[in-house]
Parts: sequence; structure tokens; C-alpha cells
Amino acid sequence: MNLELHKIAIRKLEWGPRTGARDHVLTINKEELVSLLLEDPALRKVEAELAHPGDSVRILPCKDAVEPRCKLEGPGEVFPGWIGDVETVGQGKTLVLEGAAVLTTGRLVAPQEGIVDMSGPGAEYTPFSKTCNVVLVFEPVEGVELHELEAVYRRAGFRAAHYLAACCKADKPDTVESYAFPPMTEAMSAFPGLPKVAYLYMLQSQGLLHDTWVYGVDAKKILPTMISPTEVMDGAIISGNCVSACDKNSTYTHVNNPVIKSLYAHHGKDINFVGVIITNENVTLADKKRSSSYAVKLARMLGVDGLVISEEGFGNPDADLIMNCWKAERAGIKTVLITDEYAGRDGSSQSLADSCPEGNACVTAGNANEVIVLPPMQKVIGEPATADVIAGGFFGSLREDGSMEVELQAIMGATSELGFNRIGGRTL
Amino acid sequence: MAGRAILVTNNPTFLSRVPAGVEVLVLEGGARDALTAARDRVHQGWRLANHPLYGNFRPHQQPYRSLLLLPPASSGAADAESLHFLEEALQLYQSPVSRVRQSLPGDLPEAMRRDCALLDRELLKATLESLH
Repeated sequence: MNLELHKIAIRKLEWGPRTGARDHVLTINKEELVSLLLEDPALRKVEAELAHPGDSVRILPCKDAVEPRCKLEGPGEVFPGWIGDVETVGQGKTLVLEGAAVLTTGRLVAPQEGIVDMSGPGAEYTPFSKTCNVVLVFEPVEGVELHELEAVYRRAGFRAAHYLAACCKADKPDTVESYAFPPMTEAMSAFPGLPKVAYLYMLQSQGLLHDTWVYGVDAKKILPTMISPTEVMDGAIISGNCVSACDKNSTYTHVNNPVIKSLYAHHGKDINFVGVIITNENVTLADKKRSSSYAVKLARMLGVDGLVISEEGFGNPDADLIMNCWKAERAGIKTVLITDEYAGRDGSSQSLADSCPEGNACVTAGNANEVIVLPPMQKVIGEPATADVIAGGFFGSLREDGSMEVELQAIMGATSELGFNRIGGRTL
Repeated sequence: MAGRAILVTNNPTFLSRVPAGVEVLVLEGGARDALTAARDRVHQGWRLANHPLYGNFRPHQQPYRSLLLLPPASSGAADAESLHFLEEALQLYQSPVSRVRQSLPGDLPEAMRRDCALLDRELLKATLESLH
């Protein structure tokens, strides 16, 4: 499968009469965008705002982040199962508005988090402080049931992102990146002498507000399966995960998965990157056993020497991570785990809820219990932090001057277990 | 499966919402009490059907906890895996930070309590469905 990403670099957003990109400025017809989203009868009101890096703006509670993308050529459409049909994607040409993001916000349930500060100390922890953001604030009509409402918000984010990209189809890309994923016969015989490595990509799938979708299918209902990395880039995996902002994988993060990019970068140099296996993180213990055994079986069928395993979330999924680890290791496959930590505010507590001796190669994305003070911002988009939520100790404390003392858990992408972080270490 | 499964919970909204054939035991108190009651039953041979921790909620972020237990196997021996997960979970709930910050359902504002109860039910849905 061959995919070209045609990227237009966006450095500024503005409202205007016609949606399109010129000189790195994305002009958006606000009325057209809002009218499109209001076609959904479940939405009573949609507000659209712009937020740029450096603005004194706080966005809260952010649900999903979506990168504007659309197909230029090739079967299917991006975000299959949500935009257009469910045809297999990952081939042809895809347009990307790089540097732009659609952020969705709106109340679903009372516990709220998902902070994006566009400036100040909090901005250092979220990758979405560096994107030019179209922020959508949703208000539903009366009586929409919670499952449906979550889907309405999610779908509206995809429609907006697709609309923005589709309006720029005629505009010239700044860069073109090519990704190839060969048939297995070729992949297996390529680069003899280099270790074969696959990526085991864990998807949050515990239930309402904790879900991920693959081609429109609820990930909790899948058996582990293989997917081409180019399908991931076309939005075959999307986020319905609205809880634990720091380590949920937004749709933006899925399509830009840095683990996949890194495996591509090492492919043919020090490893032979032979495939991506997706698996779920269900609540039921029988599902955890089934999925971990089946995922490792797929890795064995591929004959890989190593597995890179990324977790999504924490607590309950730590059990899935550990099962994946020891089952692979005992099958003779070396593993590297990517996770984050809940090690207490001083970092001295146990980091994960589960462990095993085989898990001896682990990459951490940071301690989500780390405390940070977020100063007041001139403008809040979404729903201002309320005392009963923030001061209740759920995510931190709200101070009289509007500043907040929160743990990193409340900040979008602060400890992304795909490594989509602003702060980190790198070997030079 | 011989016998009925039992749902050990401190979430009273479960009372009228479990499938036929599942017994419900609603406890007073917090999430830790539900975990302890489930742990005690595991020592009597009951087996855990769902993981005892929530994904993406920490002990102080969800005052409810519900655990579905399957009837004891004929040997009556304690299931080591169920015990392992419950002890790991209890350790987390009993850590100094969690103990101080844990809340009881009654401590929460009404809207928060209602939503936490709903999410507790939602996150057990797939496990309850797996019984059939």
C-alpha cells in the first residue's frame, strides 16, 4: 500500500468569505462551517472560535483534536465509517492541513478535564498549544441520550476537519511525504540480518467515553488484527475517548502516531518494520486474556523478534499492557513498553497498577501526578472551570483569581503514550 | 456455569438495572469497601469477571465501584488471578495519597454523583453482557 501525504503548512487562521489556504493562512467561511455542522438535528448551537499559539486563551473541556485531512486520490475517504463509506483507506493521496487542528468541546458528563492553554506554563505540556485551532463549542437539543451525544460531538469534529481540508483541494501542497507498506512476502524477506519488529498498538475500549473505533467498528468488539500504518494515517482509527486528557490518544494523535513514524525512520537501518497489530483494552478479564493471547499469536505468526507496545490510559489497561508483555516475552519476542506513570505528586509511589519481571524495557511519557499552576487566561473557550468539579479535588483546585492548580492528568496530551509530547528526552 | 453471578457494588442505581440471573449486593460506603467485600468472596472461591480498577479514573475520581463475581469452581479454591488483581487494586486505594483524597458518594454534588453512577454502570455493561 502506497500513500502520499500532501501537506499544506498552516500558520494562521482567519474568518473570511471563502474557505481556502493561501500563503500559509487558512481562511474559513464561518457561516458555511457552522451551517454544515448544524445539519445534525441533535445540535442546537455550534460556536466556532479561533485560537493561535501565544494567545491568552484556555480551552476547556477539550474532547477531541482532529487534523484537517481529506482524500485527493485513492479509494475511500478519511475517517472511514464516519465520513463517507467504509472502503479500505491508506492508498493514493491525502491532503493534510499541517499546523491546523479542530478541537471539540462541550459538556457530556460532570467530571471535566481536557485543558489546552495556548500560552503560559500549561502550554508547554500540550502539543495543541502549537497548532492553529478551530475550536467548536457544542450545545445539544434537549433530550439527546449520552451515547448519541458523544457520537454527535465526535462526528461533528470529523465533518469540520474534512470540510476544511476538502475546501483546499485545489491549493498547492508545500511538501509531499511518501509512505509504502509492502505485501507480507516482500516485507518478510526484506533486509535479511535486521531484526523483524512489529508494533502492538493498544486501543482504549472500556465503554462509554472510553472507546476507540476502527473503520466505524467499536474496538471492544474486535479480535486483534493487522492494519497498515498508512490506513492509520488516513484515520481508520479514531478516538471516542473523552477521559484522562493527558494520556488519551486523540484522533489527531492517531493519524500522526509518532511510534509509526519512528519505526518507519528506523526501517531498513537497524530494524525491519513488518507490521502493526491493533488490540483492545476491555474491562472483562476474559477479553483481556483473549486479546493478549491473540495479539501475541499474530506476532508469532509474523515471526517477529521484537514488539513495540504502546498503552492508552492507565489503571485497568496496565493489566493488558503487562499481559501483552509477558506473553510475548515468554514466546521469545523481546518487548519495549511505552506508558506513562501515576507515581504520586512526589513521584515515589508505584507507577503502574500491574507489573511483571519481563517488563524490563520501558519508555515513560512522564508522571501524570505532577502538579502545575495554570495562571488565569484572558479568555476561556468552552465551559469555565467550576468549583464543584475542579475544587472537588477531581482534577485539581480552582483559586479565587481564576488560576488553577492541577495535575498534568488534566492537560490534553501531556503524557501521551504515543510519545506525542512537547517535553521529552532524545538520544543525540 | 453453576449458580448465579453476584454483583458487589456501592452503586445503588444498579439495583433495578442488572440482567436476570444476577444477584446484586449493594454496600454502604466507598469504592474500597466494595473491593474489600469482593476480595473476601474471592477467598471463598468466587472468581472476578471484570478488572477491579477503572481505566482512566483514579480512586478519588470515581466514588463508585462495582465488581461482578462468578460462582466458585467446584474445587472451591481461591482463584489466584482474581486475588492478584484485587490485591493490586486495594494497594492503590490504600496508598497514602488515595486514602486522604478518596470521597464517598454522599460527599459529591448531585450532578457529579449521578454522572459517576452512570459511568460506573456503563463501564460494567460489556462484562454483564458477556454472561449471556
